[in-house]
Amino acid sequence: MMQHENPTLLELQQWMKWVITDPRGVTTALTEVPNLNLPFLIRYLAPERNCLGFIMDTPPILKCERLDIYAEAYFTRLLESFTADFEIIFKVVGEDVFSKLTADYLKAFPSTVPNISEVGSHMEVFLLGHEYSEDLPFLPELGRLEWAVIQTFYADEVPNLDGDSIKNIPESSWQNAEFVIDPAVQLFEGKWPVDQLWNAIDDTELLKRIAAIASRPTYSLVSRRFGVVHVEEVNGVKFYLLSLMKQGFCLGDICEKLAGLTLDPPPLLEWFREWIECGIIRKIHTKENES
Amino acid sequence: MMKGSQMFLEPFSKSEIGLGLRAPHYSAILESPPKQTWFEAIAENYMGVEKGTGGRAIRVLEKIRCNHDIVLHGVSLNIGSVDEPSENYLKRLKSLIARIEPKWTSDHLCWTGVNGENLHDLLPLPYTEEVLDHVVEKILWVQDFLGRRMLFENVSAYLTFKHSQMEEWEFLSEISRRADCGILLDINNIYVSSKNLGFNPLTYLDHIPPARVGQIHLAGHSIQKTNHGICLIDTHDRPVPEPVWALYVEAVKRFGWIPTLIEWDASIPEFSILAAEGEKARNLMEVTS
Repeated sequence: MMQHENPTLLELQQWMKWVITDPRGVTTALTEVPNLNLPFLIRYLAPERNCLGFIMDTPPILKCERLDIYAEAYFTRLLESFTADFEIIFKVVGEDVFSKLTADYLKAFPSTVPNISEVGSHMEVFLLGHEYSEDLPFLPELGRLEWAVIQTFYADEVPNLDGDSIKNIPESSWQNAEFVIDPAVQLFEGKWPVDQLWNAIDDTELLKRIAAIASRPTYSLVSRRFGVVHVEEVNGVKFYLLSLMKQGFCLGDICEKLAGLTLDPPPLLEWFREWIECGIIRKIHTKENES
Repeated sequence: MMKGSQMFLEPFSKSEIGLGLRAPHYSAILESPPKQTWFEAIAENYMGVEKGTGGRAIRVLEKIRCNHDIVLHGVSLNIGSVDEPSENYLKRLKSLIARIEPKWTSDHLCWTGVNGENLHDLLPLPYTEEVLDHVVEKILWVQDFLGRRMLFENVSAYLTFKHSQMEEWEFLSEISRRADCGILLDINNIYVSSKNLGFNPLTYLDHIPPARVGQIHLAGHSIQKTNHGICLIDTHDRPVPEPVWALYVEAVKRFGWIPTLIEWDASIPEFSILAAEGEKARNLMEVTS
């Protein structure tokens, strides 16, 4: 192609995307060839068509400075959004590291979504391979938890369970009854009690909890009550029971699976009552209410 | 000739003013609903995430909808990109429109990403015949998909392209004529771009077809020093400055009464301060139109 021809819209947009998202900054991107050993090299490589010459000279401000405005806006907007959405990771690693972490994340997982709150959906996968997770091995799970909180916050809403409908279920139907769990509920299983970090009330408390954190199997329930997201640790049996209900097992099958799991029979009735009261269980399917 | 906003069905009453709806103001608005006020909600903030469209934000919007008219304003339609319109995005937008029933829906005349990536920024287009054809075709397609006419907003610009064949106001006017869409005229953006790129903002206003203007935006901007001069940045983080108010008066003289909205997106003040800005716009509109 003759280089004096005007760039196509595709060429221009690909070039501008590259120059304002190059993690080295606009000036370096335009003047220095990237090291070919860089991870995510594609983020640094200039497209074939250089479009700098097609930006109007409007003195006294240089073209680079004009492009810098867009580059800064791109990164700042995403950094602000990440800081709000991954608040605990931000507090754990500190401002400078979080900024670098965000830049690295965007190299690995550039946004393809309309809502800026969705950009961090790959945080766990990203942190699994990140150098900071070597010193803070709970970081990937914390990333998964904070993303789960976002999903719970935005989950669809369904009506509360009507208490009268439970009274009308004949005894003979309970065996095959299935429980519909609130779509906002997420069951979080991990090797680190990151729920404790999430629930740390202030920075001092958070630092204490980070210092004391030790790997152990952890089961947490992420739920939404009156629009507010809660994260609470639950015991393994409760977690198993909730996961069976979420998978759609009927009460009869659930009881069969739970039999012999613990020495003492779990207080199922009490748990069911609690989950109905706080909106974890939203509906009970029986033959009667299905017909 | 029709004057501004007459092309759109159901305009607001002339005494109403628009305010940008932002989360820090939810409680104030719900506790004491301001009179004669409509709100503009950023569409993406209420779309939820891929697997969930609920949550506090949409519930609050539905409550506010009970007392106030709502318009939706998008930031990710990406109408100027070479990418095809995102079906996923449009389905979510359509679903939100069905749920909220806004008076109208708007987005920006710009591109926000390419090759499937979203840069979450409002990026400038070269104003060429080729781009004009491309954007018109996309707007027609999107309006057909949504089953409604949209408004498109002029964005703040920090650079222009040598190969542009027309001025921004010509491009915007031609887009609105050929795609039969409305114009959301952002007065602050005109002012900011005029200072950054060196054109007369009154020339811009003079070339906008009044009948196409469906809404006006007003906002504040900041000044950024570079090594070689200063740039105005469209930050929406402070009151509307005097030169933008003055340009607004000029716009009202040309277009008559237009639904006007105050945007304030960063360093968000108490609701009363935002409302006072709205009151100022209302008074200026009354005196001038």
